[in-house]
Amino acid sequence: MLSRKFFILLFLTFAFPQNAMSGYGFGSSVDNSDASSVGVSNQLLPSFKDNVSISNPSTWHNLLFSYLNTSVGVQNAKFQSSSSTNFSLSSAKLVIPWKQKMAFGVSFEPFLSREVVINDTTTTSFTFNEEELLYTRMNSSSGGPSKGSLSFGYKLNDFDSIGTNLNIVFGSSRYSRNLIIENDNHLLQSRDYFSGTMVDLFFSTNRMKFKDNPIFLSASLSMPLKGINIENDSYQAFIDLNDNNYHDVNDFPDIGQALLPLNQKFDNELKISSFTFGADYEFSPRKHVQAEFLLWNDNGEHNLNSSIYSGYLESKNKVSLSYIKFAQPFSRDRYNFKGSLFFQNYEVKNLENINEVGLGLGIGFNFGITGNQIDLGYKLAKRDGLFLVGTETLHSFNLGISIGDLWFVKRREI
Amino acid sequence: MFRFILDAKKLLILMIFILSCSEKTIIYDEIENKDSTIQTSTLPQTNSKLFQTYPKFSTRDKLFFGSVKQSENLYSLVQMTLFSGNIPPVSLVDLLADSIQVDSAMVFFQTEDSLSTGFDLGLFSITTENDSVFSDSLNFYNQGDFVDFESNSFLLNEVYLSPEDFTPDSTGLDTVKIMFTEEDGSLSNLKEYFLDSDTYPARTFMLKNTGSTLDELFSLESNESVNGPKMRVWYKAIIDEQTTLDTFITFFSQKDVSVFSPPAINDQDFNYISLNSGSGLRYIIEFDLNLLNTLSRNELFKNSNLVLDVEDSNLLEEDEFYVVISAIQDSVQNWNFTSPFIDTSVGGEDSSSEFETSYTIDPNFVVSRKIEDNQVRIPIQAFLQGYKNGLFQHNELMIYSAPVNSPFDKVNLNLNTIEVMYVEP
Repeated sequence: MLSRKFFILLFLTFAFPQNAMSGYGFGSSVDNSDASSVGVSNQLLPSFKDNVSISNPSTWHNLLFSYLNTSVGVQNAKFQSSSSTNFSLSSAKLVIPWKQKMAFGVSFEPFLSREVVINDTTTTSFTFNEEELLYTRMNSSSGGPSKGSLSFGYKLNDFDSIGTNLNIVFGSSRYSRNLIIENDNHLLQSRDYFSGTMVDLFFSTNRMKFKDNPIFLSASLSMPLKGINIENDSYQAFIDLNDNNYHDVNDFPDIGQALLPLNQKFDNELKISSFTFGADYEFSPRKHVQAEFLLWNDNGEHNLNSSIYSGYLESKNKVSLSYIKFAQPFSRDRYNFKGSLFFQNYEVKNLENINEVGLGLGIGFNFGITGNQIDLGYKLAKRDGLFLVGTETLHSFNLGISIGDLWFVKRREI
Repeated sequence: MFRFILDAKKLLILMIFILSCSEKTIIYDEIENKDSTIQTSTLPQTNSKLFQTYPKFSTRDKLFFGSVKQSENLYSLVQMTLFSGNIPPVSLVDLLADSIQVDSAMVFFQTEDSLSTGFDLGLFSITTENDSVFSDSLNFYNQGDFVDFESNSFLLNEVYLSPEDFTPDSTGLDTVKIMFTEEDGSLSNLKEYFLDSDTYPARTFMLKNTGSTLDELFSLESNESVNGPKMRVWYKAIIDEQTTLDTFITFFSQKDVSVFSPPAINDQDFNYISLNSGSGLRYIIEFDLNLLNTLSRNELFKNSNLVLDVEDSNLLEEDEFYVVISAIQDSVQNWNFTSPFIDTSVGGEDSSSEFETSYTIDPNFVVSRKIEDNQVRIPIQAFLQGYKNGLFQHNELMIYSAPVNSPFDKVNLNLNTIEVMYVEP
């Protein structure tokens, strides 16, 4: 019963991190959603346990227990002379290993974030019939699609393992333009409904060694099974006379006299594919250096222009270098330490490209016989070339709690 | 261990809920400038029409007397009930039976008005052979369609209304009583020309000023009011040789109408938007709304007014006059002056247009505003938005005098250039 409530609450309260890139295209993609991988700035390489990445199903068979992992984030964005802070749930994931041979998982996390508001900071005047009217404008978008995943990992032999994610993209976002004339809100609202499926394939191996220490290699390929389709409902503009942000009979024109919403369907608006390759070298017991390279590409149609800005991300590349020191299981050494640097370049259609450089730090604390873990990740990133904003500095704190237990695991396996 | 996990879950749920609820939004500044945010335009007037429809006597239905503002109240008709009560005598003609001895009668009216100068109020009986001599549609212009009330009436009695009798008091009502007695011979006239409903079935009184001109407005409560006209007859009924019943019976009014000559329609009226409910003068304007076809779906009309200046009027300083503007359900075919009372057709004109004298109001757009400082501003953005959204099919607006206005009030208005403003968020 408690578990049911928990998952209902998850769906009700899911929120998204916000930054200036949320105004591009259908929003900014969400990287490193779980707290354990924030410190290493990568996804494929071990960051949760000595040989496990919570984002890489091909490593999950190494887990001894089932884990329920949940992360929340705090993000602070600074641009020009302004700053803003927001809180959000980053991800929720349940991972179930089976006989150290295979693993299953189910997860829920944000896919794209469109949470951004831009407004005029100055008031413009307009004279009509010898009457001076003052107005400002405010454009905003919010929400964004989420991603639910079913995952499977399988150990092929002592060296190689594979994994896959079947991702269902769903959810909606809202877009609103508000022309405020003499305190009257003139609203133009629309809503985008997302649907699509994607698949991620993972392969990991530790066949290679260097100076008798293993090198862990992992690669993943993400591709759309079915491009992400978007259904757009565009509502006729209205004057929100009762300021309830909702078109009703007290507004102008009243809802009964307004045109019906325009419904348009756009197929394959987003076709995101990516390739990630990473290498992890354990140069001394429980001490690793890691490198990961990401190529991300969107070949979607982008016929629907419902974003705050006119540009959208066509591709991005990311390189990350990290160091991690894991705790020693069943000892007094209970802490994981992580540090990383990453560089990211975004190619933007119609607008200036964006460069990002960042630093990741993380710490993990193990407790309990089942390897429960609390992870704290910090990411500092600086982005250049953002439309209107220019430079933006992001500070992100992620807190993750992973609770391990024998759910679905036969006790004799331990 | 299990309890610990349960507690951890609860803590986690609480933490997620609190954090998610405290979400804020990042605000970035300055939106790219867009020229089409606010735009203005002028709506050209393409056609107009002054026309006459059936006069409206306003919502203040009363029986009026006197001459004001180039209008003269000619007469009022009041039809009384034929029956009253359950115990004989129950009808007017029953009062003429041998067993009934009518002692006296009184026709009485009530008024809220005061009077500055006295006048003679004559009470006539309509002496036609028809039982229904008038209808609600009777007015100055169509009197010819009804019987000639002047020549088919008999003066039953007359009373002089003195200003002293009508002084405002706390009750707010004064009574006009017209007595009928044997002494002055008036009772026999009443019995012969009114109570004998077999001979004169109209049972209709006509009231009119029979003296000098009354240069003010004086009104009596009409049938619409609980204080409407009544007639009380006192009589003795002989039951048997020993028993005589001395009592009275009251008859009530069941319909009435006042007929007046409204302000005349003159040549000058054709140069203006001339409005008067007494004569039924109204106006229709047609606009060129092609602009609306060029606008995007999300353009919103704002601050768009029809501004009318008062050119001349018969309004007094304390008078209020409301101008109504409404959409119409049928398009105008004939832009010439039309009237249901005047033959306005010209040679070769389609006969169907000759009778185009009334236009049905579209209730989705009816707006009323009061004239202030010799000007009235009526917002029409709802009409423009409705036309743009397909709610209205015709690019015409009808302008007329509000029902609350006095039917004797008349204004001539000039239309200013129509400036409209529309915005797109």
